[in-house]
Amino acid sequence: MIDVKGLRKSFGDQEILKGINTHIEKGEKIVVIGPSGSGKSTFIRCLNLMEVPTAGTITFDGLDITHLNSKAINYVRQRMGMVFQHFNLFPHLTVKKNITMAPVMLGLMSKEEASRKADELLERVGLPDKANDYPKQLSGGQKQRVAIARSLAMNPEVMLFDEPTSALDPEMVGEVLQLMKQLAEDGMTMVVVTHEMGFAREVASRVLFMADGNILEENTPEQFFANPQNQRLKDFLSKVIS
Amino acid sequence: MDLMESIRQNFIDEDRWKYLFDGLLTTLLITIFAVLIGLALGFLVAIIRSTYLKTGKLKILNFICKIYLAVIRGTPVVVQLLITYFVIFGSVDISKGLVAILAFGINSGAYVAEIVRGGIMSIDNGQFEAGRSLGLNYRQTMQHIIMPQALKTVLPALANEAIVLLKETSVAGYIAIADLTKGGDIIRSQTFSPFLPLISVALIYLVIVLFLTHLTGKLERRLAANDRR
Amino acid sequence: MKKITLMLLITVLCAVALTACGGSKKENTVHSIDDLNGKKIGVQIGTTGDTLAGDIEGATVEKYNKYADAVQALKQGKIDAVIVDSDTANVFVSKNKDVELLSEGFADEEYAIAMHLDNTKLQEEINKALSDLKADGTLKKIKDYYDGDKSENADAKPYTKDESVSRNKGTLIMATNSEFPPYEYMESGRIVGFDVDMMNAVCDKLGYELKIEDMAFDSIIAAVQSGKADVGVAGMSVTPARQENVRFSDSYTVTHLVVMVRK
Repeated sequence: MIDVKGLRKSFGDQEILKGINTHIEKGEKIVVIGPSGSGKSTFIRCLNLMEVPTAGTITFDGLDITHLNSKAINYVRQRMGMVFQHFNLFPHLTVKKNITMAPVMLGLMSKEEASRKADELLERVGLPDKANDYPKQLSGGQKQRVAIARSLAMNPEVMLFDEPTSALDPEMVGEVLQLMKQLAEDGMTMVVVTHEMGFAREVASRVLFMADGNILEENTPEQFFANPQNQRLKDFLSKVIS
Repeated sequence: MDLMESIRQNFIDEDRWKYLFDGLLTTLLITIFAVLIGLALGFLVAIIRSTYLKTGKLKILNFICKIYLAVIRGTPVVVQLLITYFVIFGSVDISKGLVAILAFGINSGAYVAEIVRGGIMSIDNGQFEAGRSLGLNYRQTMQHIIMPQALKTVLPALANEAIVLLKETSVAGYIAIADLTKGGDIIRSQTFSPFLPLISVALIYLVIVLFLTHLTGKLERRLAANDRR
Repeated sequence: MKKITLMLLITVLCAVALTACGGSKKENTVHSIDDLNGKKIGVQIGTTGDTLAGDIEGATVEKYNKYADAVQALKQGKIDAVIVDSDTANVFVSKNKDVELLSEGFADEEYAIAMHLDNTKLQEEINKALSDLKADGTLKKIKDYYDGDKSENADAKPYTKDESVSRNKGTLIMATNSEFPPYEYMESGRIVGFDVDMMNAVCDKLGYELKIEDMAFDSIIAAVQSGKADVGVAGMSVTPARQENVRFSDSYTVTHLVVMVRK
């Protein structure tokens, strides 16, 4: 579904990604872990062209998306949902408007359809009574659940999660991970950058370890955690899992 | 000369109060239209500038805008007014009021532009990314996500700019426009008494400015209340 | 640095382009004083021309802060005529090829020195000095110099300050408006002109140190009234309205208002 070949990204003269190659199948749940500064966030942000790659190709459903015009890029982004570390809900809109805005504006749904879809999604993320609240009135966990609902409203084919629980208070991490697990069970293709090893172990179909702009190891969670090959990964795991 | 006599001489004789009244109308008229031009121009320039800063597009337009900002903010408004009147419209038959509205509007536009650009840039880039990640294009993201938030943060500053502009129009007299300040000057030139004409001109400005400041304060409190909900 | 230079260059080019695209000049429509009715007349605010223009039927009076601005507006066709004192008008006409004066003028006016209403002592002193200067030909010499072509005898100053005089009476502050050639105007950064030379002569006679304060014309009387200045000397005509507010010396010259129009 997504094919990444020789992906490089530099900011100024600093190279963050140094040639990433990987392939993501439909329905896979990829979890990307690694120390901070390893380039994992930049990697996931390249997948929907939030960052424009410096070199290499990303193919989505057989289409090379690295050389598209901006109109086509917008279209690709409609098919890929993204969830951010800091939620990035629109503070001037109600929860419901946050969810319905994009599908209605892009002409994918009528107002009524979008509204029905929003109710359905709010039910699914467990916040049916918050439709008319503003983001300021929600807790961090609730905000992230609304952000997930907002992405899902576009009926994406793949969901990208960029450290979705890193900005949350510890007691709210669970509710967001729970929701993500449900999504995974429903068969959504997911790429998740996270520090939650438990989530990786439980949900991932494949785990990638990134360091210094390279993928150093990728494996099934069982092998990945039980039998790490790369020395960097061994050091990393010994520090994270104490 | 006692005060009553002075009041009679400065305001009542030969209907001299009319200089102040007509002057006030002229001042308000120039200010209102200049504010409108300033807003239109300012928003346009702010959008061009922030588009360039965010995406690197519109390079040439951005360059032109930068010249505009540098020239307008780097020169006194009186000089701009005189240039507009004697140079730009030197050989054109155009009403002085229109010249003043244009000159003050173009002047104000530069300040509005920087206020609005500051407002746009102050909105967290995550808002922009969230919009784009949903597949909205640049214009849609700007119009429906960034601008409504930016506008809210800059409204008090914009109101303040309008108040500043009201006071700045007091130099309109340089091109023989009988605005409020000039109205006072005309009375002064006829009665030779500086006290009453100048004090009453100052009081009229003060009352208007205090009134507008009061409104701005109210607006600010309402916006703050909105934020707390 | 390169960018700044480029920006400046473009700005200047734009300005030049704007100035270059001048349109055609408007035809003059004022050929006599009667023609002034209903016209746009430029004056300097607070001058006798201002007062006079206000009485012309149907005329719009544009009150400029300076005569130079009014003349500029006249040249550009923004107004139809300027009412101005004859001596000043002659200076403007000699420097601007595209304006001229109507041969028909208004009634004579007398220029005099203004001082505080209560200051009769200073009035007496100044009147004495003026009559002395008239008697010994100094005033005429100054007047001839400013009436004539100055370039021929540029070095021959009409009056040189007498450094030997003792200035035991202190400072005499003179309020003026340096926009009114030939009576007072800026030259090489200094205020010069008929009034300045005359006042230097007066101060030499009386033993004052002359100090000149430049200000807007319509502020001069207020400055004298409030004591900010001792005398107002600015080619100021004696009018009844002004006499209610300041005391005038004897007149030191006679002029009249004229009408300036486009050629």
